[in-house]
Formats: sequence, structure tokens, C-alpha cells
Amino acid sequence: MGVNYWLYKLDVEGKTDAIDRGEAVEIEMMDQTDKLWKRARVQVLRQPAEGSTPVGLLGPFGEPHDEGRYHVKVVEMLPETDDD
Amino acid sequence: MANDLRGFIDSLRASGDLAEINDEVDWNYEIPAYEVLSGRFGGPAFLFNKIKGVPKGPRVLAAPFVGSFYKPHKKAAIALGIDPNLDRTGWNRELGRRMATMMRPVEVSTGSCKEVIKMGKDVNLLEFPFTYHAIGDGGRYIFISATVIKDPDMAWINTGNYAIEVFSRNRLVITPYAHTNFLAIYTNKYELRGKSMPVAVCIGGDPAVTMAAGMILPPGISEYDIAGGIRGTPMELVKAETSDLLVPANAEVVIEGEIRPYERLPEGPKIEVFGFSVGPRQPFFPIRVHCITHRKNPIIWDVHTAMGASAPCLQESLANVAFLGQVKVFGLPFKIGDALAPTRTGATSAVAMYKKKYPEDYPGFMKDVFDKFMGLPGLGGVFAKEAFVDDDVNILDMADFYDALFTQVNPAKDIQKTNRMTVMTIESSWMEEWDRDKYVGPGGILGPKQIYDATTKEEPPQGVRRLSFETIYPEHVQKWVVENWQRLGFEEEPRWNKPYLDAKF
Repeated sequence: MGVNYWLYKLDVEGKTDAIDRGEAVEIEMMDQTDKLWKRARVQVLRQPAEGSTPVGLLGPFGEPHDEGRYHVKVVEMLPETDDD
Repeated sequence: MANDLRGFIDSLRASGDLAEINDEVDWNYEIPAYEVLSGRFGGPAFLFNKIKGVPKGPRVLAAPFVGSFYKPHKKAAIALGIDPNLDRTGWNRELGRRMATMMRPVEVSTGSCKEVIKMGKDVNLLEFPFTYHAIGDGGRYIFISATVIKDPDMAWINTGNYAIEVFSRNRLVITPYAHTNFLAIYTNKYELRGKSMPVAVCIGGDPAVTMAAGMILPPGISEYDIAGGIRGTPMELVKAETSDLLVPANAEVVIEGEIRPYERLPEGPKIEVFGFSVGPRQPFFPIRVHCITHRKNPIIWDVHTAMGASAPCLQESLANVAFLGQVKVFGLPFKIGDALAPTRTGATSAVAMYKKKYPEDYPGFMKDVFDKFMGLPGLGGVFAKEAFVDDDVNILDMADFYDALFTQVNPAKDIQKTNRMTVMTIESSWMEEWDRDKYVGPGGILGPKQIYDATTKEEPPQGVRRLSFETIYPEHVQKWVVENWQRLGFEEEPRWNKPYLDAKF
């Protein structure tokens, strides 16, 4: 299956407690269209929900895996760190 | 032909080493995929004229340095106007000779790199077709550039080639390794003083600049001077728009920016020249991009790091010659200059060719040689595995090297493991996850090295004669066979090591 975003595996693992409580977390998502990382506040879900999109995980040495294991529901896209 | 990227393209076209592609291709996977396949057979470079999703203008030159196993330097030779048919010994000798005749650059008032100038809010890196190289990469990468910085305390301009992630429309993340002069200059002379460092990432221009930028050189030596030497004429430089840095006047694109002290952004994972992906995603140095200047219809060149692709071919063509300087400067007891040869896919390995004496100069002499080697940041600091072989081994031919490794190493005595030393970030791939945070830092980690003593030993069997063509036949017989080889109808070039063994670099 194709996904629109990858989450960085170690980032997700570091937020497991908040994810398990259903809280929104701030996370980096790699957009598969432009291959850039975007920061967002999202709910990371283990099941699809209305308005959610499936994501994949990117391992620390360049191994994408587990596409569709998680789904994210974007609460808020955060501004880029571009502006001085 | 002009001494710039376009002149290089003309030379590749003239020698039949360029395929020009007018079909639309994608920066996402497709362009790099062509290079990887070309690398499998020493194939052509590609000039892609139409890039999907990119407004008409920028083009991509891919696979510019793809070479073959025995002639990885072929296209580098074409770029410099050197005979591409030279074997590795001839190439090393010629490049070493040119490097020794350094020429200072000259400053000119303007250049073609200033044909288009975009500042501030008009800057957008995403207008350029920087490529996405492989499944699992953490972003689009610039793997070939000449990144220019300056030592604030002296006139030393440093130029290097680093993996650079395209982070956003006006941010790059640059990843200098632990042994680099870049890291020494930035951390010691800018960051610790609380100062921002101006940076210019230069793409294209005279290939000599980028080739010199890829060499590991001792502190204080400017790659611009080396580039002048290997080109045979001084480089023409022009002042950057936003700093005093001098950049190649004929570069295709110059990305100007600054690195601010203690600022970091996540970078990686990515493919690397060692032949596999490296990570983890970790903090590295962001470049805030303030200005981009470029030629009209700029050509971005792009390289891949897979086996046989441009990056390892360049490494093999340049690194061992560049190490010559350090070997000579520091008085290491190696026979000749090209005493180090990164293996085909691993800049993490090195081979030092050492003329063994019987008996050794004093007990422990070999260990002292190891220690001195390890203490040099540009040599020992780079590699994770190092092997020492006798001087009758042609280290430019891996078959010869492996023969020495497999016949002369006693696993019980001849393999040393060092304590933790600074090595490239690459080693993090082999590090347990729970140890990573403890030892990994920007540009390097602390890890053990392995050293293989593949020289013949004093103990029995002492002086085992190698069963090589060069050692088991009289010289006149070797000569007779080689000279008659092609007359007898064999098409393949005979690989005779004698010219290599006799060479004085």
C-alpha cells in the first residue's frame, strides 16, 4: 500500500505513552510527495478513524516498514522553521 | 573546451560517454536509478533535459564520474583533460604530479554564476531538481558540491564535499564528518566563539574544484590551490553576495547562507559512499540560506553512492592520491604515495603498503607505525578497518590485496582491536541502539577499529613467496608474455603489476 507520510520510528517510540493515552503529539512527518519533513500536532492511532490517513514508519538506518500500522489525524500543521 | 561543467559535458559527449535524454524524468528515484545501473558496467553519464514538475530551465547531469572496476578514474580524467585510458598507476602518478604544483586562485570581478541572483524571500531551493536517491532516505540530498568556508584567523579558504539534506525551501542541513577541517574550523573558531559562519555551497563550475573538495587534506591547504594544480591553471573566483567568501565564478549554482552557533536540525538517514544506508536521524548543522545565484538554465549535477556509481569512483580516484601528501608530510614509512586505497565500497577500510624489514627496526616497531597512523586525523581518524601489506602487493588491485589478507593474517596474532577512537558516523550502523546516544555526536562517534597485519612475518614460514605473476617468473619472461598477449589474440588488457611496483610517486 502507498502512504502519504512516514513517521520516524524512534520519534514514535519516544511518544508511546502519550499515544496510548490518545493525546495529540507534536511529531515530524515526511511528506512522500516532496520528500520534506513537516511538523504537525497529530493523533497517532492504531486503527483508522474518520479523517485519519495511514502512515509508514522509517527506521533509523533507512528502512521503511509497517505501512498502515499507524494512522494519523492531523490536529494542526505547525509553521516551518524557515522564517528568521 | 571551457573548464566548467558545460565543458565537461561537451568532453563526455565527444568521447562517447554521455547519453542525452529528452524524455521527461522524475527527480524522485528515476534519475538516480539510471546512475546506479550505469555504475554496474562503467556506463555513460546522463544529461536529463526535462525534469518532471520543474519549470523549464534546470537540467540534471547524472552519473558524471561512473567508472569501471579497474578504471574508476576514467571520467575524472576526461574532466581534467588527462588520457582516460591510463591505468590506475598512471592516473595516480599524473594526478599526484599535478597536485604537487599547486596554484593560487585569482579573484575576478564577476562571473556566469551571477547571471541570476535571488535574495531573501525569493530564495527557494525547491525550484531546483535535487534528487531523491533511494527508498528509505530521509530526504532529498546534494551529494556533490564544493562547500566553501573560511578560517577567520588566517587566509585559509576551505572547500569540502559533504552530504547535504534539502530541509526546506531555505534550509539545508550539512553533515561534515569528524575528521574534516570543516568541523575543526566551525566548532573551534565560530561556534565556541558564539559566531555565525558564512557558507557557500557551490554546484558545478570547474570539476577540478569539486574534485579537490573531495580530498582529505591537511589543515591550512586550500582546495582551490590544489584545483589550480590539477587543472593546470588558476581557478577564477568571485566574491559571494552576502559574505566575503570567494566562490567559483563559473559555478552553475551558488547557495549562500550561514550556520548559527549551537543551532541543529535533524538529518538522515541516507545512503552513503560506503555502500549502504547510514543513520540514525540525528542533529546536524543547518544552513540558513539567504541568497542563491545561478547561471541561466543551470545544470545540477548529481551523484549516487552505490557500488560503481560516481561517489565511490571519485573516492577511489582521488583519496589515495590525496593521502600521499599526509604520508609524506608526517614521514610514515610507507613505500610510495598511493599507500592507501579505499576498497570499492568502503571508505571505512584502508590499506597501507608497508615495506617490511627483517628483522623489524626494533621490537614493537610495527605497533608504533600503527599508532602514528591512528593519530593522524586525516588518516587514522577516517577508517574503521585498516590493513598493512607488503610492498610487493598491488593495493590498487583488490585481488592482490585479498590474497595478502587471506594468506598472511594469523587470526590469533595479527588482528588488533583498538580502544574507542573517533571514527566516521558510519559506524553507528554497527552500534547497538542503546549505546548510540552515548557515543554518537555530529560528524563522528567513538568506536573501536580493527587493524590487520597482512605483512609477512619473521617467524616461520618466513618470507613466503607470493604466487603472483610478478614474483614467480623472471622479468624477461613477464615482459615477453605481456608483449605477446594481444598478438596472440587476447582482447582483454593484461594487468601487469610491474609498472605499479616500479612506480615512484
